[in-house]
Amino acid sequence: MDQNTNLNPETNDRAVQSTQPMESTAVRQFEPHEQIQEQESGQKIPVTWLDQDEINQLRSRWTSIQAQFVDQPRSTVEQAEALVSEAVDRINHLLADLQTSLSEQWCNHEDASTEDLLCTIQDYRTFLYRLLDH
Amino acid sequence: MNIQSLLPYLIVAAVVILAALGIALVISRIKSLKLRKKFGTEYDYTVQAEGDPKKAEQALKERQKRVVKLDIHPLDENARDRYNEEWMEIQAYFVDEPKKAVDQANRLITEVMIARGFPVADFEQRAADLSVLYPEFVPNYRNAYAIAKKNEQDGSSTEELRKAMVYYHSLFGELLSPIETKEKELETA
Repeated sequence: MDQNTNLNPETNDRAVQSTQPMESTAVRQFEPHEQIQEQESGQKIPVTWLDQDEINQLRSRWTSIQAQFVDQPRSTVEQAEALVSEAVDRINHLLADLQTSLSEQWCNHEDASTEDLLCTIQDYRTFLYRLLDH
Repeated sequence: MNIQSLLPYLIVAAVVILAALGIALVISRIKSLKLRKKFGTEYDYTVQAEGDPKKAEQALKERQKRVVKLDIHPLDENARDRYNEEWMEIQAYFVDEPKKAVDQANRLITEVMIARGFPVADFEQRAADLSVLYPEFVPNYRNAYAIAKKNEQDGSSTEELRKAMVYYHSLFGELLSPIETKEKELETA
C-alpha cells in the first residue's frame, strides 16, 4: 500500500514525490508532523515484526528442517508446524505489545491535545496498514 | 595286450579324468560363488542382462580388471564437506522442485565419481564401474535412475521421486566415505 510505505521513514522522500495527487497533497499538508510522527512510529512500529537476528535464526532453522523432508516427510512436517507455531506466538506477542504501547499513548491521557491525538491516529494507521500489508 | 590287462590303467585314467573334471568344476563353482558373493544382486542383474551365466561372469571379471586399473582415490575433507553441503542444498530444493532436485542429485553423483577418478561414461558404464567397489549400492543407483527415466516419459509420483533421492543419497554417502573406500580398494586389488 502506497500510503503505508509513504509513512515509512526510509521512503519519506518518495512519499513527497508520490504520483497520487490526493496522497501527495495530504503528505505535503502534514509534512512537519509527518516527519516527527514517522521518527517516533519508526521506532514503535518496526519495518519487520521480528529483529534481524531472530529472523535469521528462524530462517536457518527452517532451512535445516526443509532439507530433512526427503528422509522423513511426516516428522519434518511436524517440525515445520512447531517452528511456525513458535513464530506465530512470537509475532502475536509483539503485536500485542505494540497495541498496548499505542493505547498507552492516549487512553489514560484525558488531557491529550489534538496534536497528540493526531500523532496517535497516524500511528494507528501505520499499524493497521502494516498488518494489512503482511 | 588284451583288454583285461589294460583295464586297471583305463580305470586309473578314468578316475584321474573324472577327478580333474571334478576339481575344475569345483574351482569354477567356487569362482562363481565368489563373484556372486562379491557382486550380490548385481550378479543376477548381469546374468539377466547378458542372458547367460558364463558371459555374465566374464563381464564381471572384466569390470574388475578395468576398475583396478583406474586411479580411484578418496576425496579430501574439504571436498567432502563441500559436496555434502551441496547435497543438502539439493535435498532442500526437493521441496520446491522435486523433479529438478532428482536430476541434480544424479548430476552431483556423477561429479563426485569424476572427482574420485572414475571415467566420464554413460549411465550403464558408470553403474558397472561402481558395482566393483560398491556392489550393494548399485541396485539403489539403478532404481533411482529408473524413476528419473520414468519421470521423463510419463511422470513419477512425488513419493517415487522422494525414494529416488533416498536411493541416490545412499550411494552418495558411500562415495564420500573415506575409510570404506580404502578397504574396498584393497579387497579389489
